[in-house]
Amino acid sequence: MLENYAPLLILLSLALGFTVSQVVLSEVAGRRRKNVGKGEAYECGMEPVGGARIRLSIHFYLVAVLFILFDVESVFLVLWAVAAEGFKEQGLALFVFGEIALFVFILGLALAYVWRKGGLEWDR
Amino acid sequence: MNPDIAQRILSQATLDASGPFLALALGVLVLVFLELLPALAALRQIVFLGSLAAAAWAATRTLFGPEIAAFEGTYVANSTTSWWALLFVASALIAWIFGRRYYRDEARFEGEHDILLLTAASGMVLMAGSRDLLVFFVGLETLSVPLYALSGFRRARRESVEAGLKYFVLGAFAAAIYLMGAALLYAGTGTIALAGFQERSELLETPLALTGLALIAASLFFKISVFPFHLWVPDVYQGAPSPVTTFMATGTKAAAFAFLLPLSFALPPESAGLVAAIALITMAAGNLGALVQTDMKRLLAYSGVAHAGTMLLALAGMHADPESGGASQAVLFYMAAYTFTAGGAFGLLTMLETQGGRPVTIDGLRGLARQRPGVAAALALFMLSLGGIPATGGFLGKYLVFSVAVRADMIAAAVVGVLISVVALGYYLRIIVAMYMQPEDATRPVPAESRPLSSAMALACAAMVLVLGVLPGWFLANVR
Amino acid sequence: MTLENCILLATLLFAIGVYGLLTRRQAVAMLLCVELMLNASNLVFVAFARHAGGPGQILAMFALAITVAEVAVGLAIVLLLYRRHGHTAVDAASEARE
Repeated sequence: MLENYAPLLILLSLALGFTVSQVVLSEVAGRRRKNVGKGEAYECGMEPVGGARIRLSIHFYLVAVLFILFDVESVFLVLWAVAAEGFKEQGLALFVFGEIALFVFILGLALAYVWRKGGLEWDR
Repeated sequence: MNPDIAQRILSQATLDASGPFLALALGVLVLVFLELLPALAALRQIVFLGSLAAAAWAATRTLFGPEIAAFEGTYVANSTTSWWALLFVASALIAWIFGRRYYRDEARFEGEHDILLLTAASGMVLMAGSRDLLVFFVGLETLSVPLYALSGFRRARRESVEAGLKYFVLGAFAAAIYLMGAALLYAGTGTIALAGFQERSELLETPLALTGLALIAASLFFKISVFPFHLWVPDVYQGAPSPVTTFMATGTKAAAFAFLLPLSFALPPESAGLVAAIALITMAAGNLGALVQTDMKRLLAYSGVAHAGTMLLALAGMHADPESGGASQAVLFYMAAYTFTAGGAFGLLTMLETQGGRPVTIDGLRGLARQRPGVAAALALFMLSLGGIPATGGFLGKYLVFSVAVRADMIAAAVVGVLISVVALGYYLRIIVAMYMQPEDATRPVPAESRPLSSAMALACAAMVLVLGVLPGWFLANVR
Repeated sequence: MTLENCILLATLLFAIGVYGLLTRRQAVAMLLCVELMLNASNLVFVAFARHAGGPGQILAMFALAITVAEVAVGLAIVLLLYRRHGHTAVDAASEARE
């Protein structure tokens, strides 16, 4: 079982060896010049603007969490979609569709509640 | 459409079995819908009470009938689960009625409060009826997640939000332990249905399955708050809003026991001694902790820990008890008495806290008997029932539990348990002494204000405590 | 990977989660540890479902969806505590505080 992973191990050691040797070689053999441009962070060739650790507005938190919630709840749609073929063969397609429609309706009710309570407004 | 399978899923029996849960879930959906339309806000209370009433009605339909299995046996309704469902409805009703006018700063979120309360109640019903690890997990989270939010409901109060966070962190910890236990049990036996465990009972002896069972038991012990998983209880009960504490103290414990009972056959018989030891340590820890408290909610929290330990003793004796169903009946009866006793006691504290505007301490109760004889009398009755004085429901519950232990030949455990219970009388009597025999604090008058609904509820709780204590025959004949 | 390896990995993840939960006092770090524990059990579910069939995958899906709801509520409480009261530390037992 484990010997199947032997090529992976070889690849890994080759990659590791190459990278480390390059870094060490350039460190040992290379010439060094220091200037301001070299010390700066690389940002798509542009001059960097501000630090990377800027603070995001807390308003985004609510939208992000709501997104995650609805995003993950819709995982049940995937389950339904995967199983739908089997249900069709059993002649249960309509019944199961009704069930998933009810599920989506409940999700919709939750979305309507969030909307009504102002959870979707960006600048508030 | 294949009529066979569809009929099996959508039959009358299924509707009967899941009736209480459906009533509560439908109530939640309608309440969310009402939130969309502020004009209909007046309907909220009607929908809430109607949903509880419908759930209770649906539960009575299966109260005396045979067991109905639904959804491929993952959910059942029988006499026991119906009694549990009625208990959960009562618990939610007690918490709700005493919670009226409790929230001042949060009054505009009352709709959300009711939605969360009803959702948690539906989760409890699901837990009690589940015969499958997944359905139970769904019920557990349907109960827990709203309670996290409810514990932190008084947003401006630091202790409330901290209680919410603490309850959440430990609750999520327990949920993760439960899930790992379920995963190991599934890996060890290949099934997640309780009936499947019974069929493959030889696989339950494997290390994998045993570890899984231990993890599940640990997470349930957390929910019923027994040693060593009880340390969160005083903090959370004290910090959470009082109506929520009322609900947590009575409902959550009951729901976890409701599943622990049918699951306990899977525990190896050798574990009985360990469970009995945990029960006794829990009783000792709860009662000794309560002795030194001054805050009433905290004191009752410790007392609740002790009561959970007492009920666990019945579970320990379950295997060796020659009378099948005896332990189940004892726990159900004990929990019923506890729900009305602790529900009433926490409820009255909620009322006094609302009127006084500050948490109730034992000193704050001094002289209550003269100022408000009715409230003091009811509170005294609840304390006597918690202490297990004869002629109250609490006494009979203790009697049933200890007789299970005696029947199971655990006489030493029963004797120690009774002795520890006597210690508990010390702090219950201290409260009665404060109310009846100590002069009131002139600087801290207890404002009197007529609260007809709360008073009626307290009266109903007191009546139930007395009925369960004096005329238990009907319940004992019908609760199995 | 064999089933034993999967269960071993899951146990390790679970243990790391428990360790972190017991040693950290920052709410967000504790949340992360809980997630680690939850996903360890999901790993067992999925691994065993592949090994022997059964409802393991569905269990993992349900566990995923439900725990997201749980963590969303938890994050909201953490945020509330931070915004209103300026800290996110969790004291395990405050009995000593009084």
